[in-house]
Amino acid sequence: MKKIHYIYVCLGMLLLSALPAKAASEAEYGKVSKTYILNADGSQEMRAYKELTLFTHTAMNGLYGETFITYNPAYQTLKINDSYTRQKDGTIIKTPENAFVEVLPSSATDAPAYNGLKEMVVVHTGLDLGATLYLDYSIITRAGYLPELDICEQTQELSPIKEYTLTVVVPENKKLQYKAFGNGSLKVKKDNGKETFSWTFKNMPAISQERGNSVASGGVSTIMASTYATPAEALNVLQSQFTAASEREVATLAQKLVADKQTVAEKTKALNAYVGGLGSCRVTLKECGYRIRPASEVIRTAYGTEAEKANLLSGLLEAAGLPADVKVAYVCKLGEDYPSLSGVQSVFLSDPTMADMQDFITVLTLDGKKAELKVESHSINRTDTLPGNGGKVLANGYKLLTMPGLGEGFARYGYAMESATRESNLLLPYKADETYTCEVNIPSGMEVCTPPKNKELKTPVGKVAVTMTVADSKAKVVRSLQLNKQLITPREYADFHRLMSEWADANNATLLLKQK
Amino acid sequence: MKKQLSATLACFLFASALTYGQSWKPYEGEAKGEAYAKSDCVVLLDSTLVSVQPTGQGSFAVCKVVKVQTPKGAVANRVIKYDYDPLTALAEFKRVTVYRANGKVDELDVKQTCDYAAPARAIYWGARQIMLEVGALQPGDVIDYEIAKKGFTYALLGASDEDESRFIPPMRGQFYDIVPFWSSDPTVRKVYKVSIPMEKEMQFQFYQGECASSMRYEDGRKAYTFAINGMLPFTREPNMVDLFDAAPKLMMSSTPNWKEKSLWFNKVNEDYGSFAAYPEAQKKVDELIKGKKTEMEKIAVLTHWVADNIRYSGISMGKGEGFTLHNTKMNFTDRCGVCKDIAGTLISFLRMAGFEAYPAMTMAGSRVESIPADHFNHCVAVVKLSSGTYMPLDPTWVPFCRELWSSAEQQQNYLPGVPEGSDLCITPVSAPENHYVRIKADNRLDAKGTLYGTFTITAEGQSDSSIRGTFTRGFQSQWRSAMEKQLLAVSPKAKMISVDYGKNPKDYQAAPIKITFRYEIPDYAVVGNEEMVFKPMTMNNLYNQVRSYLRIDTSVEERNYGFKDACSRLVEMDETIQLPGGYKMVSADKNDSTQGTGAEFEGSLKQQGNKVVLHNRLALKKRVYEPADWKSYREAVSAHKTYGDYLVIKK
Repeated sequence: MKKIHYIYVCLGMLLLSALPAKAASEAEYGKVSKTYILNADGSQEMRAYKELTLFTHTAMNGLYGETFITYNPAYQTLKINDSYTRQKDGTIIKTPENAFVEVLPSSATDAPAYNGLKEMVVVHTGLDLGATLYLDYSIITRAGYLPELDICEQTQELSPIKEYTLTVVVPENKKLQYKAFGNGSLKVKKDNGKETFSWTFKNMPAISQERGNSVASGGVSTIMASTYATPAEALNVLQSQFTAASEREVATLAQKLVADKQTVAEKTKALNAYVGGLGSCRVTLKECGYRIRPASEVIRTAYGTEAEKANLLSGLLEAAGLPADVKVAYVCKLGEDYPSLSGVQSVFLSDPTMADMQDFITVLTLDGKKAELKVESHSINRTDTLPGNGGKVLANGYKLLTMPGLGEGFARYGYAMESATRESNLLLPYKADETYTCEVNIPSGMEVCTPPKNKELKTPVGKVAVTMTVADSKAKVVRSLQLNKQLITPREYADFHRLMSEWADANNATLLLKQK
Repeated sequence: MKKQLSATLACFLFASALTYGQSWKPYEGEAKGEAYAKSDCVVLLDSTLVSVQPTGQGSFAVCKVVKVQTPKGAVANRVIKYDYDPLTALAEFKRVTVYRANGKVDELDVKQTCDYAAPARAIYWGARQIMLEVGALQPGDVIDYEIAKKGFTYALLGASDEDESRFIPPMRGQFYDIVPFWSSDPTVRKVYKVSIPMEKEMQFQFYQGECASSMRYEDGRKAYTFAINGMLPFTREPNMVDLFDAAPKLMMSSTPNWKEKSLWFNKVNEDYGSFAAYPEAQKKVDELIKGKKTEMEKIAVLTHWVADNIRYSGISMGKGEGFTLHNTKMNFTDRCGVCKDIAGTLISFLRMAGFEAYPAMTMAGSRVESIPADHFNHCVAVVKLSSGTYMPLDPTWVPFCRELWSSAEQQQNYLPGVPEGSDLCITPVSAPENHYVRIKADNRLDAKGTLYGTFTITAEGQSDSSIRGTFTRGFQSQWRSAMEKQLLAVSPKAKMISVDYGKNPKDYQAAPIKITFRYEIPDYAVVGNEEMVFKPMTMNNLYNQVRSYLRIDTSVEERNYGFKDACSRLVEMDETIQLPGGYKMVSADKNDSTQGTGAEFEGSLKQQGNKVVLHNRLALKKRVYEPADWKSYREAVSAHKTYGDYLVIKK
């Protein structure tokens, strides 16, 4: 009896602990499923299904009123299998024909070459609080458009999911490689010449809204699956199109652009400026079927996608006799053996941001080898001298002097303004190492009334030190910040936040003076 | 030799023909002036010719000649785009010619035009764009193009299946146009010419500037021409009113007065049956007004339900989309629409509750002139009260707002579509007291410079909506962190000990918002040997989101144009700061009072016993201000800001 009582108490506590979690959600997905099928002839089908119950107006009005589906009608067919809303009282509202609206994806704005892309907007009608919307659609891709089956799917959404299923079906003769970042269960079966991989995730929490949460930081559950054999094979899809260096127009343009440039730096700058000045098209590699236009087309039309511009720049650099290595950066650390195109987040020649992140993301060259990116130092060691006659004049002969550098460098990211608590990892842009020294010449007739300071806040993630000294009509303020970790775990976050608060505190960069 | 001569002659004739076609050529010389030198591109000619049919249908020839001057200007002109609504208009490129700086002339193939459904969010009416690729250009290149457009901007009822009938405006036989005479690119010449049948009358006015104008009889028609030479980008002032209220513009209309438009707007929706009762909706109305006794209680409950539950996402009803309000069945079933459909739902609800209610057109953002050109971008409702007066209601702008008409739309023109017809109306100024924000803080400073205290913020009207937005629009999981960030904006070392926003801060109808914070802020004051300096907390970045006046640049000394704030507002700050034992404020006591047409301020700061006591009352009287209001507005806001200066206390 005591045992049963104990079980009931435990169950009650479990229920109680679950209730607030649910109450804090704007909505909840009942079931989400995605199925990818690779057929023997190379055609593919993706089928997506979702059931989503709305709890709040934020969900109804701001988050989930529409579903946006981008596809390329030249190679793909979109089929809406079912779409309706079950209102709170059980009334079924079928999505009317006029609620399926095809528009141009905004990424293809001002890009005639990608004007054929479509974005189907499904406007979910009949929404009320407590309503559940249902959507089931397929995208069928003709053979020859997508080179292989290759997916990168988040298995979390902005609201919790009761059950998420991802199924991948490939011909038995195709080897599927995969990576799962999350706690799903996998079942594999072979049947009728096909191999089926099914991942199931139960009770997936909502993606944390905390700043800096990403796949790379380990905060978003993701599955990647691919039938490419090797990274080189996957990236060869791009490399085979990166032929700018062999295009005559590129060589001619390169010569023209560097004609009056003498040094490597000048030439590089001129070529980068030209490509950077072209129009940018935000169509992603995935949206355009991992295809790029020839560099001569980019020159003729004066715009390009990120990959197209990388191809053109590499061609121009090569034509000018300069080094040009194109790299791809992935959304997270995949390992160098995992083959993927869908996980590529950026194609570039030089990108300091990616270089800073390379411990947390995979970066490869176009031939599938690990790329070592040169990290540019963020270290700041700045010394200023203030004449001391400026500053903010206060009552009774007092004056406040604020040292230069406050709010600059790492402080610009504003981490001190974030909440003091956190539940997901925080991936910082880089590890800060900054020292600001300021000497202030105290004007005659004034004296420093800020007491000397020698403060050091040392934590496992780094330290902040501030010293303030006065000698011989000179005040010296030295502020330094060193972070020794780039990925901050929730356990370490309180220490990090304390450092950031101290670092942002204007008092540490302020001298109070008064007339003698 | 003969061959060569023939070729030369052919080239000459071709070049002459081209030159003859280049009516803009003289403007190229004018564009070399200093005023044009630094621009990325110069519009040599911007010309629109309109031919109006007896039905009111307009055929537009839009010609533009743009000279590229920099690489940036070249990239900006690599495509030419034009928007149109396929339900009511047709647009096509007639010709596009590029005159290269190197003398080459390229006629672009207009058959290569992309004609597509434009990117869209929130309004899914199938708006389209035409786009033609010009491609890479060089400084010195000139693009000369012409677009032919037929039709009008918005659709309505009654288009039959006859060819071209969709281009006839819903107010058949009437023509209007609104023509801005300003541009972000310097323009050498802008011309707008409209030719109308002799029997039509047209009233027009050129506002806020001067142009060359004429009315001539041409080919048995009346031709009105308006032109400006040397139209340079308008010099803006910070926070100024919309350019339509300040820059040169032409308004014209064949409709005699607003009453005609009002009558038409009423009829068109009544004829369509936009507000016919629908049984399922009637049930909801009955449920909502049950137990509500007064007319205002009923109006309020219906307005708030519609505002909160008919979401903004517009799908098209097809033929008639534009001025026609979707019918009750469509709105109640879809539970979504644009402003006119949200207003339409409310009108239907009010009628089903026994009220007389109608739609009204309005212009959010700028003034509507007395000339009845449809300068509207928004639709609202009016309800007839038992007193016989019409009360405007805007459910689109009041989701989770304690108002029935958003005061973010005060001083705004509207035209009710009532059966007896109406002239243009204007919404009144809403008193600052209707939008108060009050912060009362009780703080204590210790000898180490740590601030301990509590503050309570309360607010009403638009101020309530701004503060409550965290709860009504934000994720619940982020509420607490959003509160914490209010304190962190004051100091990075602020620690929120507790916050109390009540059980359901989303319930905006219960009472004005009230939030109480308890906190501790180490190192709040700059500590000296025997003195400390600090800012009063209420004046130190606290809840700046609601203090929209802080985003108005008070460094501007004089204003040539009117200016806008988000809303009229009353700001009251009361703070006491208990000083550490033995300290006294050495900053001088303050006492200020200003008054004027734009704003009023009273403020005081003094030490009473061991406490510093701050009181500020800032009344910002309008949303849209005249230039003459600036003096008092600036004085009041500037005086208020000085209370955020550092205070010095000393042992």
